[in-house]
Amino acid sequence: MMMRWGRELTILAALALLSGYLSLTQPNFRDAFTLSTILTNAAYVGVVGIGMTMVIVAGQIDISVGSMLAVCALIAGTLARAGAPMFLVVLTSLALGLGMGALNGALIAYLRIPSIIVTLATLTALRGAIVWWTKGYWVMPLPPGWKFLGTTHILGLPLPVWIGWAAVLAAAYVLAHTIIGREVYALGSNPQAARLAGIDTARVTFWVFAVSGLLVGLATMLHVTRFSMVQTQEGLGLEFLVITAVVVGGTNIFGGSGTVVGTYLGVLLLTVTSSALTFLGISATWDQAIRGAFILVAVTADIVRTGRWRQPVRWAR
Amino acid sequence: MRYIRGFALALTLALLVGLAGPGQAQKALKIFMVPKFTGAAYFAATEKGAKEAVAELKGRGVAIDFLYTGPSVANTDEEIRMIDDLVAQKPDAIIISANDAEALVPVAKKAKAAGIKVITYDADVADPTARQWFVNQGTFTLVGGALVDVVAEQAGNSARFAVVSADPGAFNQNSWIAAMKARVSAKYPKMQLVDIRYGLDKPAESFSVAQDLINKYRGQLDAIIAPTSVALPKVAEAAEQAGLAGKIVVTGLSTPNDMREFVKKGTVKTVVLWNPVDLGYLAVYVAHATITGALKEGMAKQSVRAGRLGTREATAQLNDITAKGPLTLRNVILLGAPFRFTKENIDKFNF
Repeated sequence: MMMRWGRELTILAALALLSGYLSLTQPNFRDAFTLSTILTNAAYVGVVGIGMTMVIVAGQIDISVGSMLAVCALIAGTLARAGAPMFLVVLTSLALGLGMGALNGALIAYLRIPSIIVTLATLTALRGAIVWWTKGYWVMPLPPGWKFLGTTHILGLPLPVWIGWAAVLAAAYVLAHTIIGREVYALGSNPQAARLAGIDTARVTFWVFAVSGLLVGLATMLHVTRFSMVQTQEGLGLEFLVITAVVVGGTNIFGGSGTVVGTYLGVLLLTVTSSALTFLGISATWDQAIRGAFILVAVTADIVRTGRWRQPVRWAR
Repeated sequence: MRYIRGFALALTLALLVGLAGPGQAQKALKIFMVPKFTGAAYFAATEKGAKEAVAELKGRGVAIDFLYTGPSVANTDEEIRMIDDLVAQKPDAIIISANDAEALVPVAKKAKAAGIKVITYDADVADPTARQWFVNQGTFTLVGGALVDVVAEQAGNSARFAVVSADPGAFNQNSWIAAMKARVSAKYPKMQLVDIRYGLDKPAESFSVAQDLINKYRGQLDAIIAPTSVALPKVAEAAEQAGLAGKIVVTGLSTPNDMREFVKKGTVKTVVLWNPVDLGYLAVYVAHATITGALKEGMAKQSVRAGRLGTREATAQLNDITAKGPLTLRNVILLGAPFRFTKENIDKFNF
């Protein structure tokens, strides 16, 4: 048990240490509101992180999540402004995410274009489409119902936090205990063996990307419904944050292993670290450096632990 | 006799030609205006002001052919190409907002060498000798100072404030911050800039650093300044969600359209920027004065009369504060004190 959850426990310890130190030295960090803001800011990143974990476990990469989030957000906002009921707005965001993810998946799984290339293309193309379509104008003002999802509190915590937790738990179950979940791991750890074992590897790859897109659609709704406008810059750089969290969370960047719980803890650790810089008065220029150091430490630890450096690198097949 | 008649005819012809001479002054002045790109409400506002000035000048008997044209998106190459084409039409003056300060120097020089009066507005070219005048919408000193003045007025002369900026390396952001510091030490010795955080011009990051500031300094922070339009609405949002709307002063640089809701709600009482309508208006008056010779390049102590704006001083040298130390601007005409958008006036603007 200790070994199986080793990475998660390590991050949890780091998280506890950092939060404990902040709570002791910074009385305002202990505040319930501070905790709530950190959990809420982590919620949508965590949901994107679920999809990214699956993609990376399957031996692939998806760097288009930030652009997909912006597309979902801007179209959802436009629809809400046009008077569509919120459930339809949410459904549209999910459908758009699924559609864009499926496009990524189809190009990667069936046309066999490397995922780094496909998602680099969608990252750029979707951003371009946004500029062309919005001409830089933000979507606003939004109707009063827009902020219901993002700002309603249950038991003291905003709805996005609960939905995020539910999504993480559901995904953890699916990945660990269902056939499709195990197939993702099988595909990532050894694609040849997976194929020989009768797994439709193309189908699994396709669905991993499609679900990643769907989760971006969900994350969009958890994120932008907290604000009274949708800015065209939404989601910029999200891929870096999420991939960092996934790697820090213990997912092997070469595929085959990793958990969504680890990713969620990774997201929390990065979120708390960001806040810690402000609370401790550390120059914000360190933020990027610290994130980079996290990646190096996590990946090095991983490679040393698994002895991967002896194997040839295979990535972005 | 025949020679005399011939001479008289020649004289009459010469006289006629001579009379036609002054008539040539009545030929319409060609003034072209090239924004960074068209289609943006901001530049459309400068166009509106420019056309207002053209109409006023026409009303005073000055014939003007005015053309507003530019790239449809911010594109340096396209802008250079368009200016090249416009130069071939030999206008009397061309008013430019440069997409790229360095890249537009050669084409501006070429236009100036062809005898065209070159005026920059909104965004200058890197070399001040490549143009006659830069119509400056607000120096770092003026704009940074105005933000601090807003904080002083709304939160008191001993306010503690923080800044949510864009990128730690952003020159304009850092220059405004340098100007804020200068204003604080010169005018409000008890005021304190307690923290500067960076949202990297990403909405989510801007929001979370604003929250961190509010959470950390809960009750001990009187104001937050966001000199970037991406961060300002997120700072306002963070203040609202912390229950501090109206209790913490939020101000910054943005446009009326982007901040309208927050200004109307009162979360943000004042948004600072300049008035692009006035900017375009002044640019045309400057172009006209340069054509007529009322404004002469390089001469100290001049002024230009700009209709409803009154007179504006044309300065051969103007000192400004930047992130990289003092900067001397050459041959500039200042629009004036930065404009404050408030609940009372914001609906008059659409950009």
